[in-house]
This record gives sequence, structure tokens and C-alpha cells, in this order.
Amino acid sequence: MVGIANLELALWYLSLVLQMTVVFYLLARRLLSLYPGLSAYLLVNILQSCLLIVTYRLWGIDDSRAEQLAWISQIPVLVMRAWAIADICRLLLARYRGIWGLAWRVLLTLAAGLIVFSIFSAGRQWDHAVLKASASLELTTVVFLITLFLFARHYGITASPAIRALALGFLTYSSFTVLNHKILEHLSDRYVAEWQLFGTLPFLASVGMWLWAVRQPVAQTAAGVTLLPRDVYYALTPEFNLRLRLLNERLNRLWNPEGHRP
Amino acid sequence: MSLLFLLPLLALVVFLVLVFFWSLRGTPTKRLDQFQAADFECAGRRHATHGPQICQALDNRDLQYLASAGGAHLARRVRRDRRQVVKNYLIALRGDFDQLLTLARAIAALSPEVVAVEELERLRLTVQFHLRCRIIYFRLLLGAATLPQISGVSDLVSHLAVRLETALQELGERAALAVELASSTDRRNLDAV
Repeated sequence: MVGIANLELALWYLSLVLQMTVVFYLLARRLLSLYPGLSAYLLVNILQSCLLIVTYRLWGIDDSRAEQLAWISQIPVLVMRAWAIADICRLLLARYRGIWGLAWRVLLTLAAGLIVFSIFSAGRQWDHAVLKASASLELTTVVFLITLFLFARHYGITASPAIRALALGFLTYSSFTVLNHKILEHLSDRYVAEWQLFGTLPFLASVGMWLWAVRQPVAQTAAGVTLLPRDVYYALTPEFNLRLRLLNERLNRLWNPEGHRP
Repeated sequence: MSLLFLLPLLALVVFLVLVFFWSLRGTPTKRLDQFQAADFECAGRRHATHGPQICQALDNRDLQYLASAGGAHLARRVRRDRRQVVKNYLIALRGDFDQLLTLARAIAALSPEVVAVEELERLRLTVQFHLRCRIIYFRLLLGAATLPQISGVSDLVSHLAVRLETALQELGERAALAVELASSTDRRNLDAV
């Protein structure tokens, strides 16, 4: 157990150094305006880590006050993470103004629905509620990112390597956290030491991916797109849909000829 | 310690991650920045125009004549071959429509405004179209559809061929014009820089 604790502490410090490196890169390359969400998320994460180090030294790691503070300090971290993920959506789709207008409404509705579901399905017992809500929120992140990239694929929009790496970082962390929380929920105290360790490892991998992402050329992430005149969509899309509807009706008649006899 | 309780969630997460990687893969169709005016001009014209030949392939009188003149064996063989032709034609038709849909999506992506209802409607119709195409294909594959039923295909495709030919010509001309317009605006912007 002591071995795990030492290893976990070492990994924690390593993740702190890596996060600082990412923030340093963002500052040095003047990328804060391109990735405001990611910068804010990492800064808040670093602050949370510092706060927890002080708290654990002051009250000890098993103290209930330290535990509650750790969970409460997750709230600003989660908010900043939501901002960082919103950044990915913006970087991927905002160039396509029409699609972006549709996408943010769809994605926001999806996220709101999943978050409400997460809160209601968490239950009322403090210990379990926080853990369940946290796991559901991580699953929300995974579903949200997948929906975003399916949306992009549907419209033939290709993500730059930097955006892919950013998204993959969040997806990796959230996927592992969902599983990690589920195991803790079942095994409780027997799994606490491993839970900490298996929470830090994917986060390290994620920070590594973000570091790789912010080192990619900026032009790849922020290229412009020439849009078509507004009338083209309004003239062509209803016609496409009408023809598709006619075709479907004909296919339906072919599939079920009896159903369409007068 | 048994981790069986984890299996359903693990399966769900693995599935989601696989879907994510699938969505990251290159799109099966062209990327938006690879579209050119020519794509709009020739969209959908390749297979849909072969409707009359498919009609001929499905004509019952042909098979009746073959059965009387060449025997039942020959008629069966020709019927099987022609069924295969119809299957291939359905696949090709689906390919044509996929191309059409890709263009529709490209237009939506490159438009400054889109209408959610139209987009959702197209998504619903696309799913419906692919589903029905597959059902008909499998019916043909299993031989469950009788020849009179299959001959409905000829009605479908011949009407569709005419519709597509004229509609796509109009759509293609307008879309090509729009793309030309967009690229000339782009060139003007570049000149200004």
C-alpha cells in the first residue's frame, strides 16, 4: 500500500509538471486565445492540486474535511473542463457557420439532458451520490464528444490532428474514470489505493496528448472556409428532401405492394 | 476479486470508443475542401439512367418466351441472372444516391445558415432509404420476392431515372454556379491580400 501511495504521489507530481508544461507552451506560443478553455481548465486543475497538497498535509488524507473539500473543488474543475470541450466544438465546427448554429443547439440539449439524468440517477446518499454523479458526468463527456465527431463526419468535416488529440485526451480520461468509479462503487474501501492510482495514470496520458496537441501548427487548427451564398441552401435542400421522400415512397410501395392497393 | 459487474459498462465504453475512432477515420465520401463544380454537374447520372434496360431485364414476356422456346432450365438460369442484374442495379442506385446525399450535406456544411427541420428530415429520409434498399436487396437475395413484385423495380427505376436526370441537371447547374461564385469571391479576397 505504501508502495502504491508513493508511486501515486510521484505520478501526481509528474502530472502537475506536465500540466504546467502545457500551460507554459500555451503562454509562450500565445495560444491562450485559441485554447481559452483548455488553458483555464489546466490552471484550475493545477490550483486544485496545490490546494489538495496543502489540505492533505494539514488534515491528513483520510480526514473527512479533506475528502469533502476534494469533491467540492471538483466543481470548478468540471466547469472549466466543460469550457475546454466547448472549445473543441468551436475549433472543429465554428468555421462552418450554418452547421455550427445547428450543432451547438443539438449538443447543448444533449449535454443538458445527460447532466440532468446524471444528477437524478445519482441518488441521495452523499458518498454514493458524488461518485455516481461524477461517473455519469464522465459518461456524458464521452457521449458528447462522440456525438460531436459523428456530426462532423456526417457533414464531411475533417478534424485537424490537434483537435483529434485534444478530444482523444478528454475521451481517454473520461472513459477510464467511468470504469474506475464503477469499480470503486462496488469494492468501496478495498479499492481506494488502486482507485487513486488508476485515476492518475489516464490523466497523465491525457495531459501528454494535450501537450502534443498544443505543439501542432496553429494554421492546421484555424483555417478559414469560403461559404456558399445563402440562397443555394434554401433553393436546393427542400428539393433534395422532396426527391428523397418520393424515392422512399416508391421503395415502400415496392416493399409492401399490398399495403398500397386502392 | 470478480470484475463481472464491470462487463456491461466495459462493453458500453469499448463500443463508444470504437464509434469515436470510426468517426475519426476519413469520411467515406469526399472531404469538403475537395469538392469542385464538376462534382455537382455529373452527380447521380451514372446508373439511374439505365432504367429502360432494367425494365427489359425484368420483362415477364421475355421469360415466358424463353421457357417455351429454350425450356424451363434456360428460363430459370436467365431469371437468376437477371435477378442478379437487378440486385447490382439497386447497389449502384444506392451509390448514386449516396453521392447525391454527400452533395446535399456539402451544401449544408458550406452554407452560412441551415434549417434544423430540413437537416433532420434528410437524416430521417436517408436512414429510411438505406433501410428500405437493404430490405429489398435481401428479399431479392433470398428469392422471396416474386417476379411480378420485382418488376415493380422497373417502374421505380424508370420513373426515378427520368426524375433524377432532369432534377440533377437543374441542381447541378445551380450548384456549379454557386461553387463558381464562391471560388471567384475567394479569388477576389486573395487578390485583395
